[in-house]
Amino acid sequence: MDMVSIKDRGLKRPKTERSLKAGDRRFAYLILIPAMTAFMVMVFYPFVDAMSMSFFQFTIYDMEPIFIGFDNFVTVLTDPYVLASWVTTAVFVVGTTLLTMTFGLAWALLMYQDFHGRAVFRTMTLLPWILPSTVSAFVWAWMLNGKYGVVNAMLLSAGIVDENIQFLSNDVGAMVAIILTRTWISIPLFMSFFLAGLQGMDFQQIEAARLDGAGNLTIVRRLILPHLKPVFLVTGALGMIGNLQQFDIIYALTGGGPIRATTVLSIEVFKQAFENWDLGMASTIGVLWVFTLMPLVVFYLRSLFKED
Amino acid sequence: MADVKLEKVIKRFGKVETIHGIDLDIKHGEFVVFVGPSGCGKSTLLRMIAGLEEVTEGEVYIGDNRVTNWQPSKREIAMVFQSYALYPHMSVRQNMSFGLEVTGQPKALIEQRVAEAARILKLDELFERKPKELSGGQRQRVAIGRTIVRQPEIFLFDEPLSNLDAELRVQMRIEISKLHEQLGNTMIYVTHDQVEAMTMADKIVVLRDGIIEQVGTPLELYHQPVNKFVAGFIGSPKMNFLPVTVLSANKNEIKVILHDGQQLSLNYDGRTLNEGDKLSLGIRPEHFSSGNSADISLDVNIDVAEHLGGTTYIYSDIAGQAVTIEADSDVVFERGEIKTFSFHLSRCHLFAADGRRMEAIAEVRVVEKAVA
Ligand SMILES: Nc1ncnc2c1ncn2[C@@H]1O[C@H](COP(=O)(O)OP(=O)(O)O)[C@@H](O)[C@H]1O
Ligand SMILES: [Mg+2]
Repeated sequence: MDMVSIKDRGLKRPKTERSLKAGDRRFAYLILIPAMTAFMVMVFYPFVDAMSMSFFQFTIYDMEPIFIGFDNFVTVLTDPYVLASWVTTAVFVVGTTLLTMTFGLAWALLMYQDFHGRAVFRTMTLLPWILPSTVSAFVWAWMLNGKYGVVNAMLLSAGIVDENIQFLSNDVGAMVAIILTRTWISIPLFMSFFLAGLQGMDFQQIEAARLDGAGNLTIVRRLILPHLKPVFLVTGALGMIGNLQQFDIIYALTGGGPIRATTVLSIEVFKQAFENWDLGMASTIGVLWVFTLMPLVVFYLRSLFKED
Repeated sequence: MADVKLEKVIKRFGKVETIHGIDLDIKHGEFVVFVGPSGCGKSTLLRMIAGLEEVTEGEVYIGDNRVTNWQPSKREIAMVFQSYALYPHMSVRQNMSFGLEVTGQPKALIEQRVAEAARILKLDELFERKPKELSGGQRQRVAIGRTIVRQPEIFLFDEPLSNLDAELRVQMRIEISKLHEQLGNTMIYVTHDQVEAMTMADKIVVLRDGIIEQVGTPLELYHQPVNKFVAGFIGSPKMNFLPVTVLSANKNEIKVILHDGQQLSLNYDGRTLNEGDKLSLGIRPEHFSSGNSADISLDVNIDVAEHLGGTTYIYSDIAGQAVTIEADSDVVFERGEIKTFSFHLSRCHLFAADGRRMEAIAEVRVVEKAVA
């Protein structure tokens, strides 16, 4: 019987259909159980367990955790050093993300051009991505070396500086070094995103604009950038998330120093947990860090699922 | 003046040559259609005129200028793409004004030109819409509007109607023809659809595999195709080709035998032929008539009959060749029936084995009806 005629006569839908749907739903829950169980055991429980530590005092001197309520949070939020970490993190995250997006887009625009050896070039671009990050950190530490680094040599011979810059032993230099290294590593991924976005563009639009008399800048500004807007949003969120979590390169390059100049949150948590053995503080900072990340993650996931 | 001239134009993509040395003259104000099967190089040729594709060898002239290496924007041309290539983030108005804006035209001029184009193309109502809020036909109009506001010397169209449904296609075809009359510019139009070519063109250029097969007016191509390819491509349904075998040939006459044993003697110069050569006798579907009143009669076994009301198409198979016949619309034909159709020799074309059309040397042809 067809649906329209049932409706027309004002009849109720057959009961079997409803119970069938309910059965479907039950089945869906049933097959979700293993996945949910695994998630609970492997992810959620350890997470909550670690986070709950933020309400305890638990250092190397304590035999067992002592419940102290919000004391850790008060300490963290009034500790000038920890607050400074937030600023350091913000500088690193914003600086790196902006720089990566700029270079990633520029590089993608270059690789979008039709030239001889483009495929080889594109593949070579992926190199920083393939290298283990500690190796990249080492390569950059070498290049930025204050005595015989190639960067100093270049700056000197170009006449931009008069004497070697001790990148890794001054505050600004160290920040520049970690931003540059992290940017260098992230460019391939960002370039891939932008390149994919560019390739999804109807090339005839660009040809039409050329016939219309538009120059390269106009085409980028009026056609390419608007087209890439969703890519900007996603890579922006993704970049911020990745840079907020960044640990290995910073630890390998500067260890958070000199003094605390590059001590971002991830380094701070590591220091609290494994140098001061203050697990309560470490997990408190961890909680605050997660809440910093959360809006970005939500935004990223939403823009991902909005596509379809 | 915007004459277009191509001189020995060759295009290679890497090592593959796709356009093999094309010479072509297009006069100012002409509506020229490039037609040919898909992949024959129509778009490539058009894009070389536009400057969107580099010319490998040869020269392109527009007016008095050799523009072979000029930037597209310098050539005073506008192009309508198959995909329309509208700017998706701009409104209809912005799409149309973009070209004038980026070349720094005064605001008043831009507004006046856009308003004028909108009037011609009936786009006023849609000014603030984005391309994705438009129907296919409306997008097509905007794409055309975008070209006319610039008042270019030459319009290029690359299969502009192929994304539209049949009804809209006919309507837009007429509108583009009207536009040509109104503006009087040179228009070069690419299509794989011979009906579009026949209905719109002043001059048709038939392309195949990167060479020009024939250039001529629609009726020239219809009545005097240079070869079997053009004969088969122009006209709808396609011309039929009946296999015939040469019995004897001399300076004034060729005697051939049809598949069913009928012998014909044709007034052609047959000096290049030998006994036993296989030729094709071309006859268009619309030149058959029912019964045996015309010069040559054939018994046709009807495979399929399509009654369209106004016309009826009969499909059959004669000596291994698919044959289409346009028959009386007031007779009902049945599948499997055998009917007699006939046609006049004066309507026929004779094609040599290499496909070239042979030229008749006299109007009058003698028919011998002989039964083998
Ligand atoms: N960018 C390109 N690179 C390589 N081959 C191409 C390119 N563009 C077109 N061709 C080839 O050139 C030939 C003609 O293409 P095209 O001009 O698009 O044909 P048409 O428009 O008549 O269908 C085709 O064989 C096609 O594969
Ligand atoms: Mg094409």
